[in-house]
Amino acid sequence: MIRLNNMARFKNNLYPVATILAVLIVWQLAVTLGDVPGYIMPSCTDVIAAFIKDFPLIASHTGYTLLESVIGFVCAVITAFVISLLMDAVPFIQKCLYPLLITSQTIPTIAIAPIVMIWFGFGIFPKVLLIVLVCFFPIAVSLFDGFRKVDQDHINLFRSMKASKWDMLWHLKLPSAMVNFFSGLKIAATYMVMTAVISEWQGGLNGIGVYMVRAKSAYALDKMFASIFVIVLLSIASIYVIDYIAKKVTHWK
Amino acid sequence: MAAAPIIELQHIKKAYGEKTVLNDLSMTVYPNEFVSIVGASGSGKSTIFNLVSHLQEPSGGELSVPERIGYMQQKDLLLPWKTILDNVVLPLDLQRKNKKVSREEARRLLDKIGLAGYEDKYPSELSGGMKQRVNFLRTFLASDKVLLLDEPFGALDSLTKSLMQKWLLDIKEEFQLTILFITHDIEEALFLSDRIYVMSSELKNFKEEIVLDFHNDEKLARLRSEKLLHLKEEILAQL
Repeated sequence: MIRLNNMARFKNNLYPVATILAVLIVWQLAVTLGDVPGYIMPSCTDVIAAFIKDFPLIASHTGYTLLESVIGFVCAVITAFVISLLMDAVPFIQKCLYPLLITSQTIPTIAIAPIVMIWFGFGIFPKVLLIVLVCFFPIAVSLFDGFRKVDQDHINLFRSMKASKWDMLWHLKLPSAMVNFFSGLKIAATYMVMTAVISEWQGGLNGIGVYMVRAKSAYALDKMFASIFVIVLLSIASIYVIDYIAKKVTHWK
Repeated sequence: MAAAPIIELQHIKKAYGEKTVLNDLSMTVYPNEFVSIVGASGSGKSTIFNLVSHLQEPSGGELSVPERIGYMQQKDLLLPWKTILDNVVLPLDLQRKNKKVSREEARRLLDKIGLAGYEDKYPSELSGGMKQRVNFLRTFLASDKVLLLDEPFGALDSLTKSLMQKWLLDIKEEFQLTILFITHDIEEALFLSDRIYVMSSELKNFKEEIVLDFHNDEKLARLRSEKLLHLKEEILAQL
């Protein structure tokens, strides 16, 4: 049964992989046969060559972006926990903050990024701040909704067992909100890398976004494609990590 | 009965705004008794339980109930993220009892209710009947041997249900429990109970109290008795 499932999964994966390969081949052929110059469109092999040649530099920039992202993400999770717990415990705070949280999401990151740079300079702080601002929302809202969704019968059960508020939070609300929490976390993770890159475009000394801007100025499109490849990998990897943790934590699902 | 009542409701009123749910309702339950409340759904049976377990306060009247009371519902309400053992000891953990001692006790009790070997499983791995037994055990540990059971077997298939009914009678004897039971299954009430209160939605009160004085020592024999059928007809006529 398990073997059959694995086999079926392998077959299902075959389709998208074959599609990507086909696109890559068409790309390669179009560029080489059409004699397109490298500053308009590099070929597949050009990109791979640029990636290998520049690997130490790309790796160090990527490491910096990853550092920003992780710091920002962790801060966002902590803030989200504090705010959603407060909103759950104090209805007054919920009434004040919840509608604002929702509407604040219509502000695009790309619009506030330059302002944050002007205020806080080109160091790591404004980047982390932007990531926190962007990632905080989906986490806070999903966590808060998770607290709200707890079954009233379960709450009554805890009340009939004379549980304190703290016990109710620890044994009931937190665990049952975990499923929601992780779906918010996954959305936040996709925002995280994107925000880091956009904030680095605004200026700075390190980061894959900075590397991209430099490559762009030199019309080194092969390096730009190499960095896009790295950014995609970073996004996918972060979602996988969260998926892995989610499976461990919400094992009953 | 000579002993003092363990649960006593006197002239209880309960209203939600304008809507009266219970009107001048009185009842008593004595230690070691098995008392059932039967009635149509929406007749206020569960409100009585909410009052007895202090989830709600009465609008009038007097209420005397033990400090700790177990309240079990039709839904098993086991926490899916906790193992069977951790689910069972939850009420003891909430009372800040010694974790090791209460887990030893729970293991012993799980063995008694035929669930040895399931301690480290999760609720999703158990059948409906097993889950209700775990739920029962948790309710038991939350209580001072006084249990409110609100249609505990309502969601089970009829075969499992009749097994669970016999099991409940055995456990009641073994642990000297006092049980207040809600059901809309009249036969179930007649089989299990020592006394039955028949609830009426029009009166918002009990219409009748039936004392069951036959086959009290061997309740299984009731299922074969003609008297059960007569009483069933009598109650049906009341509803």
